[in-house]
Amino acid sequence: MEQGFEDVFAQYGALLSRVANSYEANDALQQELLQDIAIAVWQGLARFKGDSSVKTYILKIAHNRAVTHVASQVKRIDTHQYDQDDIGSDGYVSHARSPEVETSQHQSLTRLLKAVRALPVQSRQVLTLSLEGLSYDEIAEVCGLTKNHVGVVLKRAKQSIQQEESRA
Amino acid sequence: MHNKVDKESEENNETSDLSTMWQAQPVNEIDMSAMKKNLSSERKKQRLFIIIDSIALFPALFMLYYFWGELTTAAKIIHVVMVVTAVPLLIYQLWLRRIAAFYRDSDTADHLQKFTKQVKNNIRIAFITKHSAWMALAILLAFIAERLLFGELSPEKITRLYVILGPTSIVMSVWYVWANRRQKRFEKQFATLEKMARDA
Repeated sequence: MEQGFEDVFAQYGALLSRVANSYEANDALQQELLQDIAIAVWQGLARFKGDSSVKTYILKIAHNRAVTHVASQVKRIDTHQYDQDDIGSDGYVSHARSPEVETSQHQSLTRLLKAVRALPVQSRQVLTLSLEGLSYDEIAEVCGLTKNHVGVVLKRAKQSIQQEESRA
Repeated sequence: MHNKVDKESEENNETSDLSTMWQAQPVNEIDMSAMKKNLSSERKKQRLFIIIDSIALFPALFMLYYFWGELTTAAKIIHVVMVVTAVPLLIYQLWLRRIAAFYRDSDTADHLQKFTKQVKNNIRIAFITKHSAWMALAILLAFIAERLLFGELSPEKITRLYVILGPTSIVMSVWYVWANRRQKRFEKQFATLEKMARDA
């Protein structure tokens, strides 16, 4: 592993956080899941042999950890019920824009996150990996699907998101 | 033809917008110091479990080795039955833990399959643990009964046996409840994983 662990987290920390956000709506649980993911990635990087890109490799680990996390949450509150109304204003819309535009984009993002979290795990995974810029081949590798299957799942996931958007 | 191109272009734009919005969402920072601390405590916990699993049989083996000559036939039978039952049980538990112990990074479909199998194994481990609690107490009771019936014990030794029985009963009862809760939790996890597989 040529790239240091801390460099990897500096480069892909935001990416890992978005994975956590796609599985958890509640702030505290998001942070908890992010920490769990980071530990799993840390352990996994020691075994990285360079068969794929670092990004694909850590996304694979992150999603696996998130799936485990979702299954482990059965004893706790159904986190989907949290559905934050307030996402926070620190990250999104960093450029100077009118308050109306900011509010509108903030609402769009809230709706997007809600819709993504409502998807079945496989569709959610395929869609978010696609939104992170992974190719069909890379998504297939992460999810353990065929390229064609990725196309089908992605199309359905996008349709589902669009339907949610049009309902709003 | 133009319509098809326009539609594709529109779809690509929508995906690009979605992607931009997705990547612009607020993110949390990884707490590196907490992570290093967690990693270290997790390793310690796993090592502790392995040590506890491995040394669980030592007291019985110690008793057999050092007090074999002093034990009555009934006590010898109880101890031998206990060891003969416990050894395969321990091997089986270690076998059930193999998936977690030898886990390698795999795709999510494979991970889900392995994780489901591990949770299924955890249900079995919890089931074995739960029933080993009352079985251990039953063995202890049998041992005490044997001592009382055939041991020709002094009142002091009888009191000592009851002193051993009291805390052991409490510990085994707590153990039973703890294992039962674990079993229920893993059963719920298993149901969630099966639902995930069905929804996929």
